[in-house]
Amino acid sequence: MADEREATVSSHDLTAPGPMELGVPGFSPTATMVDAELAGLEAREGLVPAVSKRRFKSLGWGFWVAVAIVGAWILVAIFANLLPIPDPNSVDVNCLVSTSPSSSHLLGCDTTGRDILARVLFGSRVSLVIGFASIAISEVVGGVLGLLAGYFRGSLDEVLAIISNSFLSFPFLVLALVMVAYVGRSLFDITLIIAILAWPILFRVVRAATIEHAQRDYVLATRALGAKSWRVLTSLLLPDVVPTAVTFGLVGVAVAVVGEGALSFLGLSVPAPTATWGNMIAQGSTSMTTDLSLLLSPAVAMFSFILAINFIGDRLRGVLNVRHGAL
Amino acid sequence: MVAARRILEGLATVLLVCFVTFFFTSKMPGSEAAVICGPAGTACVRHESAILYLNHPFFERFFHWLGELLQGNLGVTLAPPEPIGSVIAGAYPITLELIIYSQVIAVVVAIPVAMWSALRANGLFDRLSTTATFATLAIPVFIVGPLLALVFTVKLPWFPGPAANVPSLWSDPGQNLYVMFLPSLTLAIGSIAVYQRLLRADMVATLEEDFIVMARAKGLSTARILFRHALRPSTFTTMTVAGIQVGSLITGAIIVETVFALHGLGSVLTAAVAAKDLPTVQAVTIVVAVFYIVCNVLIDFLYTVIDPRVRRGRRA
Repeated sequence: MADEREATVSSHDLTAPGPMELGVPGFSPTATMVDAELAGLEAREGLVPAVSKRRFKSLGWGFWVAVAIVGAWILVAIFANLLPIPDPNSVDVNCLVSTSPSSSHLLGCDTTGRDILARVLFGSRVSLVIGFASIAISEVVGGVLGLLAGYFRGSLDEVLAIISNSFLSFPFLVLALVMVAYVGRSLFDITLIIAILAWPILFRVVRAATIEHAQRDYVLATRALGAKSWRVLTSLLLPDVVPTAVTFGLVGVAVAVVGEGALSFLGLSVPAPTATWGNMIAQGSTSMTTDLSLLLSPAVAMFSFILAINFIGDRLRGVLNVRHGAL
Repeated sequence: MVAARRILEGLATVLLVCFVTFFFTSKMPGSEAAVICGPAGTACVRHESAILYLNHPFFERFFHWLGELLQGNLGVTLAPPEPIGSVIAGAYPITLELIIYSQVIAVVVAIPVAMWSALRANGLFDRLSTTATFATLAIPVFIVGPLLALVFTVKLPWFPGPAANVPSLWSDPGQNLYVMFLPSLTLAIGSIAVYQRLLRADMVATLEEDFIVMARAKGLSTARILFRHALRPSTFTTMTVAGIQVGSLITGAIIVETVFALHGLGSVLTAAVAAKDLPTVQAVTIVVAVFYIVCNVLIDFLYTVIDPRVRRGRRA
């Protein structure tokens, strides 16, 4: 409703002379029709958000809780060094005597006397940087290739489909480990490795969405009017596939975080002493008989993040009407 | 015909994996010879290079290596030098057993749960089991594994803890299956969730078919209807997904082996990556690729056995 009113006002401004001077929006039937058309155009051009506020209201409170959790983790990752917590790599000698929680170490210490809370909070940096950065890279690579393959089809599409299929069919962790062996395991290396493994998923999703949208009437009409491929791709198809790319990208972030966690757990992600959720879980699982906090704290942290971001992706997919079909 | 094509495709993939890993291994700085010799000096490097065929052009080396591979010579691990073939031969039974055992557990659990859920769709049991599977799908194996180990080896000492000695399946099957149960269950959890959901959905659809109504009208017992009439036509989606699952099972097996300190292919690969032992990484990757492709061809074959429509459709 709100969008329509806004659109009416703006089109009113555009068509200022004529009956509109009376100051009554939608004075004549023709004016309303023009308004409606303009509103449609504007929605398509992205001037007005395509999703109405009412649809966002239907997201439910659970969605906003999930957004708050993800937002909190992002803030923690950015401002971890400003928080009133000890240095994650400093050893507290008192803590070596008793690793149980105390006022100075809320979650206790690990077996080498480092503060668990600080390590969990700092550990979010590795997970979140790798999760978001690798998916951002694969969004760009997979998205662009998916748009091109879905729009032009032909041999480009076939070659890319074969490449992405062979990436997707092979066991994820084996490929990741092989690449760690050949490339290395700095933060940058791991981000790149996960991006290389993740782009085929986004490629397939964007390609499928592009194929679906490219057959719609307004695209065919624009092409019939003689629009260049570049214009069709950037101003019609790109906005259409963004909801698909974003919702699947969010799920991709969760998958990337779990993937990094798996590598970390095997001790083959970012090297020690940097804290990661995965290497903390690995450390915690060796000492779980004596101290459960070291295992549970990073596990709960990772679980809360992946569950929240999965939930956001899932709800958005419902609201933005992204279809699973034709993948 | 279809099987032949699948096998050819599989061979092409294996060849590609061989070529890519060989290419990258050969491009790595520091030759294998230098690693084997350590500080022993240039004479040693020259000697080892000759043995390893390192002085020849790239393609000549590739085909020489491929020829050795086809004769079963997978090369030698770096420090300590051992034939990779025997390392893999010692490790693969654990991984294979883990994967097969987990699938047996998954099927044994998923089929009854899915049937019971489908029989009373949207009932209490259905909603409970669906929620439970949704939750288990979200937890990564490396969190489930340690927690299961904690509960069932420490709090309730029903099973031997990680690093338990695993006797051979052939010499002491009972003890072997007992020790391997918890690791296999850990790996099975993801599969149970996937199979339960797919099987339930298909089963709900099958139970509305005419032939089920007919079977009911004939007065057959519910158990007979479920197992003899409804099960087979409900398994097609699950079968297809089982094929896709093999990849994630291998991924899961690597982690489970680390959690339970089992000496399988996954731990060989992990150790080789940590030590930058590229020949071993290369060999394990190729073995995994072959295994993966063999599994997929087998499942394709199984599919035609279970679904007569596919069999006839493909022949026509």
